[in-house]
Amino acid sequence: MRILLVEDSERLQRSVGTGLRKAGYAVDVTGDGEQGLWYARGNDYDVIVLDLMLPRLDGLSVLRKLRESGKDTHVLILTAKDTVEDRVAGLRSGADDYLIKPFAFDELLARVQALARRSHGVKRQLVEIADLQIDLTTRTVRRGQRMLELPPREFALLEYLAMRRGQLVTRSQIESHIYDDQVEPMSNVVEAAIYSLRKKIDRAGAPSLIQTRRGMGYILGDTAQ
Amino acid sequence: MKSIRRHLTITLLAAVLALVVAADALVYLFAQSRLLVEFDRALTAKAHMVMGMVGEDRAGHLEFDSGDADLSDFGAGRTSDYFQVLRADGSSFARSPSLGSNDLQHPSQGQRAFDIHLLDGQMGRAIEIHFKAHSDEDEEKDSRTAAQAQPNAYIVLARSRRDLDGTLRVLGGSLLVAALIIAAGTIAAVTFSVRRGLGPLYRLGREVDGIAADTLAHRFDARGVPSELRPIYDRLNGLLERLNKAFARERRFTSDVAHELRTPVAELRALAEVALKWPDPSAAPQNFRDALNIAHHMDGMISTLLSIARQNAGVLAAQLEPVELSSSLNQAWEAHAKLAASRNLIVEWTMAPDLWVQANRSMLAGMLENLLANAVTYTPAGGTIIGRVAREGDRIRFSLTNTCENLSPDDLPHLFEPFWRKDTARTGGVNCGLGLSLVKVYAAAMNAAIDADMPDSSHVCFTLSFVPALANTARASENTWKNSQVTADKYS
Repeated sequence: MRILLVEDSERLQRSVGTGLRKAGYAVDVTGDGEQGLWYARGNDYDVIVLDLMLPRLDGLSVLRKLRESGKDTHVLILTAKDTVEDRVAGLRSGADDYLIKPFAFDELLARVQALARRSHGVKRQLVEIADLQIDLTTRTVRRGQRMLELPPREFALLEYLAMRRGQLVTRSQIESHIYDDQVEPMSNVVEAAIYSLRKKIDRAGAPSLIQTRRGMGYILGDTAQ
Repeated sequence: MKSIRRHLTITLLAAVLALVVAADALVYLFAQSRLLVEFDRALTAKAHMVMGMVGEDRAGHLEFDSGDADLSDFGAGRTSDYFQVLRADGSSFARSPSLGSNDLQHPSQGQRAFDIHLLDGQMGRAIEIHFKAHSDEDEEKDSRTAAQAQPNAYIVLARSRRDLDGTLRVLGGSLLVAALIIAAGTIAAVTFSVRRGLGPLYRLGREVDGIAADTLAHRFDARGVPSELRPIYDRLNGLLERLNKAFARERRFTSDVAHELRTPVAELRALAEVALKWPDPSAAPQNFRDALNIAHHMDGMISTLLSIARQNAGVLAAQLEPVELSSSLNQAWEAHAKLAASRNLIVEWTMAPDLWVQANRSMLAGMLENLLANAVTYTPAGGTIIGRVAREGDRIRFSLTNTCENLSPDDLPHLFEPFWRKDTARTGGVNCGLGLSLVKVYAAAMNAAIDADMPDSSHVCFTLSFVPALANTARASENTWKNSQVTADKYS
């Protein structure tokens, strides 16, 4: 999952960006409205976390211009403006959610996760593929009776594949949604991550739940079906 | 409680009553006077009729002969009219039948008309006329000689005042009733007209009563109100305007304080929660630096707000001393020169030396720090900053002019308002819009003044005006300051 954080406070950029990355998201960060709009138009983000009081271009203008350009990326407004009028204006301008500073980081994370699920049309919190159970809320994975320990980045990869279960997911889609701009274009980070994930979720000797379409991408699904 | 209606009613009623009573009294006295004159004239006529019945014979004896004259008004049993004719020596020689053998009391000095107690105890009116009884000799003398003859008799003629007093009582009663009717009418008319006249005031009172803190945008409609009340309406509307602005400013200030505190609290909370959720020793130094910077930021904001509150309450004390302005400015600029150079700002200074001002050293440093930081932060890259220190008249002025973007003359009144910023962004939590407010507060505490204007559309100029320090005091202070610097250097 790829998140854009548009926030002018460098300290919040650091702490929220770090928290979202630790939670397994790829996070791009910018501090002014014009650059935020440029990022949002040029990339396919799952969620945009947007401050309102931004230099150069305020958050509401960013949001309106984004919607006018046809982008329907889910946007969460994160701001200190707390009046009913502010919230109504934010939601009417096209925001999907509104969170007031100061906030609990867990709440921000939960709202971002909910918006990410909605962006892929997933409403159920539990995804089941054969006897693999992925709980998108508690971010836990179980294979049969066995609880699997996945680092955040691997969970994010599994979550992304699970939200598109049965669909072909390309390598570049995985790169853009799971990894941020620091990933080298020619690196094998995706293959390595898929390999590591397979080792954890597949049963020994059984066909992998993640099928490779050579030169095209990957499909998560029940091979027995 | 004072009441305009009661006051007007009582005042008008008292005035009308006084006028009516005075008028009644005048009418009554005039009528009484006229009636008495007529009464006395009738008595005189009757007395002359009786006097015609008195004669003097050739021996000088006075005699009364009524002849066939009608004296029925003086008859016994009729108690209305009385007369008594007396000789000049006071001896009586003729009485009316109504008097019997009694005498009429009369003053000895011969008062012409007077009030008298009649025989039946009633009050009466009497007239006394001294005259010369006619005689046969008089008919032989010419009339002038007869008129100059000495009176040898006088008559006292009296009549009851019952009818006269009755007429006066009816007149007095009528006037009293008229006065009472006028008084009652006055009360009714005054009450009605005052109530009607004060109607707009009552309506205004009810309208004012409905004004609350959230309806200060209401304005009183002065259409159709009496012209006397228009100034009140205008002043009330002016007051509401000022109150509304003050409330709006207060609400904005409170909202701004809350808003400005939300951001650092959000920073601190997110920092702590993320650090606890995913402990990372390598991130600890940066986290501590961030936490410390947030603490400094909040400390600065709270200190500034306290200074503003103290200045507003009039309790911000400033110990003033002579301070050399140019050297203070040089010291303050050192902290900003590097950033100004990195932003390619063109900086020009014109500083007259040895200009001492009455100031608080730390407050002055804070003011200069904020003004310079403001100029360096908001001057666009490649822009110009021009500083000038000079004596102008009885003031020493420091003016700081810098290039500006997106600022208009309409913004000038807001520049010193707490939390006001042209750009709504919080500049990354570094500035919170209190710097210029603090400058103004410190200036007021030091009897200095700060003004802002725009010499043209792309430059803004801040001018600080100080009271100069006295020359000899400044010298003494300079020596003290240098000595303390030497001492400080020795121990540093």
